Amino acid sequence: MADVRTLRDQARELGIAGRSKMRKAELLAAIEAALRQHGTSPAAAPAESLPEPAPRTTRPARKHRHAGATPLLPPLALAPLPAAYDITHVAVLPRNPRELVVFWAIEPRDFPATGARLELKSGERVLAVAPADRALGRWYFGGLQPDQAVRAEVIFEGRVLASSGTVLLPPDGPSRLHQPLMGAIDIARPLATLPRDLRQAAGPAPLPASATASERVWQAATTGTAAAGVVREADAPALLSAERHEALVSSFVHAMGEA
Amino acid sequence: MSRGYLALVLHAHMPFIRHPEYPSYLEEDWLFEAITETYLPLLEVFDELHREGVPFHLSMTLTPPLVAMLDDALLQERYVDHLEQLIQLASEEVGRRTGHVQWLAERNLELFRRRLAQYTHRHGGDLVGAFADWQDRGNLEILTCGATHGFLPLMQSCPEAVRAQIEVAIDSYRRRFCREPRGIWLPECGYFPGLDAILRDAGIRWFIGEGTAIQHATPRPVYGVYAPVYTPSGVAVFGRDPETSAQVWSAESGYPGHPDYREFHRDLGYTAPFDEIAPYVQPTGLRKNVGIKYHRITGKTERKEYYDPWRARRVADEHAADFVRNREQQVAFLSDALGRAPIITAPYDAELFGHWWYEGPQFVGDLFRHLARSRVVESITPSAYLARHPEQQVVQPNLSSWGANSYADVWLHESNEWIYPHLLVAARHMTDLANRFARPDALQDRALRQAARELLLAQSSDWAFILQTNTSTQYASQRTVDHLERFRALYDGLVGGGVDPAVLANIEARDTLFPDIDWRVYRSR
Repeated sequence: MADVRTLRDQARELGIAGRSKMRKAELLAAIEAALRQHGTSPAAAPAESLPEPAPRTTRPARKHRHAGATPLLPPLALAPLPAAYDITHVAVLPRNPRELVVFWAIEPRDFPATGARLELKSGERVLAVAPADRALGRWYFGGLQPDQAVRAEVIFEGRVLASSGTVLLPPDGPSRLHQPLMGAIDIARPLATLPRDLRQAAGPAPLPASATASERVWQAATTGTAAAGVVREADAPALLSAERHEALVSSFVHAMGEA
Repeated sequence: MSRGYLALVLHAHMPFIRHPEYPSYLEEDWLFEAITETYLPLLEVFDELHREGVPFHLSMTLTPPLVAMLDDALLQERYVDHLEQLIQLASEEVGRRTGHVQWLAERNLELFRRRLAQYTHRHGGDLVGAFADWQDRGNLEILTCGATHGFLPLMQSCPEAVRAQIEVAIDSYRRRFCREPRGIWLPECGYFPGLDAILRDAGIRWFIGEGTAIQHATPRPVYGVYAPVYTPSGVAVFGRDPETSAQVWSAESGYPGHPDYREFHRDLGYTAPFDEIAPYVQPTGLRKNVGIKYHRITGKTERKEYYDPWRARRVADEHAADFVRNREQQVAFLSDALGRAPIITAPYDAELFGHWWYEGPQFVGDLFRHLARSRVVESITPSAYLARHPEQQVVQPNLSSWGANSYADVWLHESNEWIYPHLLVAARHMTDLANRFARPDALQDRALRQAARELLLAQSSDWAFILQTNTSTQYASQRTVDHLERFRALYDGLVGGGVDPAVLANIEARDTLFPDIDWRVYRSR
């Protein structure tokens, strides 16, 4: 009977994952399973089509590099990527707070060749319009307002051929909303026991916060030691004094418990 | 009792590069170089720290493609070949050099032999298992990542594709590490509002985010990046600290640019007379990096002095001491200002340490040695931090990444945007296939699995990144097209004239990632 080391070597040759943690019986089972799968398992790569690695001892390594560029697998002759697809869709890909690119595909039988247009919208407001004059295309939009929800539609003769999902453009600076909401989550408990949106579970702004004090704490936290001068004022940490912090935490834990 | 924490997070990732169709392939060297210069040295540092009784805690991503490649028998075989060649070259160098360079060559020879012994005997070729051991000991927390490192903010129009990137990765992690991952490194730290709900459904508890993900969140986070925040779905985000980032990454003031450190760009493969290096260059005869370097950075001019390992070693220790001293000042200041123990999250590419910054692993070891003496800062993993400090603020972070400009500009750029029309359609087609086939036959099942693999491989953010940075653009472009064409061929076969078994077998032999992938993950929910 082979020892564990030999079995591990064999498992390595078979590409068995997790072998280092397996006991002898597990190794044997995994090796048997792998051997059974060889030649039939899809990802095990059919043995007959794979090159057999030559033993290291018989192949001078230096010559190996000069084995040339002869392919060891038959070349794949596949069709090139098409210029049009049999699908109609449009997608908005945000680039940064002010820029995005809209990509679309229009199924050839739906493609009107001319007259189709792309509309970029925020709610029902049309932000920009562009021609959708190709079956597979893209259009860049810049100079947009940050921190807004946008979507795109491909329209032909008043009919919406495709509509994208809504995408949020990120803000380009810190939020002006100062409503610290604290929560306590036990990492040992599954998240599934908590509400899906903790903000709603905790209720709206549990305590009013001083924007001035919050700003100072935020400056300290975001600029690190470089901002030492900014936070010398005594009232900055007071925003989250022990009592205040406790009040915030309690309310949230309680809300989660109820949920 | 410390006053705050340092969470060091190393992101180890390589795109899936495996070319069984050729006897050797230049881009496979990326993995081999990372093994020799980063993964093995880091494991050696962990061993040293353990022997010295130094407490250390850190987190590391081992991305699914990297795990698959490290576990792959063919690549393991080729790695040993690669290292044996390096030993041969180093040995020849000892014979033909004199003086200080000969001494450096001898050190290289000794080091490469040690690496070979470490790889084959110490770890038995099982580097993933070696890292997993440190996780079992409680020193290391291993994160998962997107299945193929797809940049998720640009997939949000197809939630099934996002979910597949997450769930396939978690399944792969579970199989390999026999446990659930708690943390995830979002590829390129790419987050968009709503992603946290998908992570929550997959059982993820925290992720690393770019600083602006937190700093620009709503409402304004009172502790900035020096405490994690909870997203609305309850998944925590640890924000990257800009100060620690700059100390290491900055091209101007970062540690790796010190004149005494080894010069990455002066490689023997480009400096030696061709006849000396000929057996070790590309099959085409073109030169390439061989991993032997005799010079130090010296300065910004082309004139380079010879490397002095002892001086470099000293500097790495000084830099580690400086890094810890700065964290102590930072923590002391922040703990007073914030009224609570801050956490400084310091995420880096793992390959920076050793591959790009040769002395990086020594720095990591010395960092923990200095931290062990600190009464102000202690090392911690994000999961351990959350267990100790469950109360955090709830905010909505915004779209962000750790790329230039902190958004999606790098991965959606004029140089790479041509890939997206095809990727978007392929993602929709994959969901269409998953919805369509309720009871596939054996051949269809194989084709569906392979189609899922091809889509995932095409989505790797590495290709778009390489196209944008204008480095190995031909390879990145070809890989994207290859996977999309393979996907298209399988899709056409499945919905049209039937799958060609020979074509399928050929594709399966090339792209072996995720042997147990469940393509049903793409079904609409």
